[in-house]
Amino acid sequence: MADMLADGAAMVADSISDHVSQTVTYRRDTREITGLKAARGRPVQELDTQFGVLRIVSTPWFIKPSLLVYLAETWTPQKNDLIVESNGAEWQVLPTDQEAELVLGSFGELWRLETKRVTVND
Amino acid sequence: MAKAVIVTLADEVAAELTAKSGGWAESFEAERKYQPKLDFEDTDMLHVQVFPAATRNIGADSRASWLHEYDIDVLIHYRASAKAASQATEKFDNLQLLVEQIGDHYKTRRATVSDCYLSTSSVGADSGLPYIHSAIETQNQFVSGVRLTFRKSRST
Repeated sequence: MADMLADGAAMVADSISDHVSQTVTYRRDTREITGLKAARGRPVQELDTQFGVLRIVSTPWFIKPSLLVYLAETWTPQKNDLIVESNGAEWQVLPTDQEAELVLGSFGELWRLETKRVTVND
Repeated sequence: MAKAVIVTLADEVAAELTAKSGGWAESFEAERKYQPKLDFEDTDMLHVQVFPAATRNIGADSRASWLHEYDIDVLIHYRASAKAASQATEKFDNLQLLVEQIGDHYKTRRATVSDCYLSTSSVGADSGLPYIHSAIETQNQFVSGVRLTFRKSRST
């Protein structure tokens, strides 16, 4: 019998990737994956007040692991990777309370990346 | 227009730091703020912010005057690029030197600013940390500061 939960998770991941994502560039050092489909979660404004007031816009991004491939190499998201939107806004993968993890139940259908905005759109 | 002593102090510290900017480990223009506030996106360049942090009346100085203390904080923020990230050692070394230089500048000169004399200065973050370690880890960012405490005897 088919694993209905796994099939459902895969269907949700496909829907997110196909219908609510945008095309971005995923950059690591000098290498980049262009034309990548990634869905942006809800941006949240944080205030870091430990030394002055630092206003940070954080947001999760969702990417299918099967799309995160540079040449033939499958990438695991890392701290300091950059997601670049078509309007130039850059989001940097930085550890917040959560580092990149595979989500959608235990089926690992999507990467959830915690990012901070480091460049606003032009 | 007359200004409060602590505001005048913050203004003069910011102006003095900027005027000597060429002599520091890193060039900057200090900004005097009421509240030290930055957007994360803007911290990819060095920011030095000066602001009034605290004021205290610490007791009678004579039968006719009171002794007041004024804390002026100098905050330093810089975020390394994604490429350099937390390994931006050379830049962070320069910033740590800058923090030390600012502290030394006031300690050695015992500056008299706005008719106030420097009482103490402390360098770095709270608890004796030279910078905020967690900011390096989570934000690729060097964050530190100098607190200057001035004293002034006032008749009111």
